[in-house]
Amino acid sequence: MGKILNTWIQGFNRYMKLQKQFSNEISSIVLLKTIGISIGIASIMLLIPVLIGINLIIFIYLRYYLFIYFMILGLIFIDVYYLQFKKWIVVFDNRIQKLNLKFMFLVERRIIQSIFFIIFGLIILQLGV
Amino acid sequence: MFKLKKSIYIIFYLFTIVFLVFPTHYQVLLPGDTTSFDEQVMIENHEIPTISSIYVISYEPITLFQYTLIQFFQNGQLFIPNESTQEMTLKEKHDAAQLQKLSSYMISAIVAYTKAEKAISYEFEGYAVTSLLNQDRTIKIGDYITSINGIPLEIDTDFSQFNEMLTLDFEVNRNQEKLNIIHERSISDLPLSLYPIFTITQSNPVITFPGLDSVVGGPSGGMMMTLTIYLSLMHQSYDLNIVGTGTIQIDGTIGIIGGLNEKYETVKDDMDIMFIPLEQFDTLSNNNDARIVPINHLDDAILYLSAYHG
Repeated sequence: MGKILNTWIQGFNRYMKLQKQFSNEISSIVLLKTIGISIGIASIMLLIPVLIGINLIIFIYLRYYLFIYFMILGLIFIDVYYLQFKKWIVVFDNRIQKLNLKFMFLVERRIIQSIFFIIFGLIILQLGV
Repeated sequence: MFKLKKSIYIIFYLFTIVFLVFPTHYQVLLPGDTTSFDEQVMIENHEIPTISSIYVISYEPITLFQYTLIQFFQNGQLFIPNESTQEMTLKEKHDAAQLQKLSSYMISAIVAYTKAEKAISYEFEGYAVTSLLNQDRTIKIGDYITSINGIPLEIDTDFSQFNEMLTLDFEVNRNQEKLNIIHERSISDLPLSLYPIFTITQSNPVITFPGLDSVVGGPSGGMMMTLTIYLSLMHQSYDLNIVGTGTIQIDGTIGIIGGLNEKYETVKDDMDIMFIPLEQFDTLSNNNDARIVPINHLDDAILYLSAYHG
């Protein structure tokens, strides 16, 4: 148990260190540009599946499948967003290449996916579906 | 070659987006779900029997994609909505459906209490407007009309007496304010839909309607609500899955509703008895189902249930 906890603490420290380095290296403009373009591309890529889901909402007997469908789409959106973020941040500022950000992005991605999963689950429970 | 492939992808993408968002002129009625009346009504010191009303999904305008799916699977009723519905905003449609529900629930309580010989006193507030008379919205959704041309409106008012009148002087209650609205009739006038609104001033036992806050609207739960209140007041319950649909009039007669086939589709796998308006029995595609009970009056449902239990 102690060993596992230690690994987690080490991992978290490593993440915090990388996060600090990343914040020091990158300017706000580059960050905003990258976030904007990543959200834009992820939205364009997932627009058709999202619209299909919205169109199917009127078929009320599909509601359970649709909630699962939208949850999966949300998780995919976060994945696509991070893939695009990794790609475009280097394009806008190639100094970032020297940092090994794979681990940082992986941790962030999983944290955001977990938060999304919890919030979506709570909303569904609240709606009583 | 790469450019051509890219262009084909873009065209396909845009075409798909148009297919998914482009609205048609159609409205659709689709199978919905049931709601139990124990969430809709509460009567002091009385149990609410397990009876459910059925609702369907009504949606307009549907997209080309939805139109294609409904046509392909044949699981909904497609139609072009009337002019008044087309003109109404989403909020007006919601308000109209809520007023229809309010009217229906109040009448249900009055009919059931009277039938069960329980004390109830009530006041007639006027006729609530639930459709548009014209695009100018001379009369608004939610107005209560109390008199026309000086003739006070009652629950048994014969509206045909106003047919020949070219000028109509409406006395209305709008947001607690009394107004007089003079309307010159024109060929472009749309048929006005009116629902009588009662306020229950006192009842013993006390009745409340928590279901009035729910999003599901419309008058079609009236008959089943009346039956539920009556059975509750008489302390009767049946170990059956009873569902049904139909409006209720103040004299206990059952009126017609929309989407009967979709309502049947909604409950066909999970019900023992389904009450429907007698007038619509022939329009039900599956009317050879022995569980379907067509009725014309609340008394018919009460008698049927008594006989069913022996």
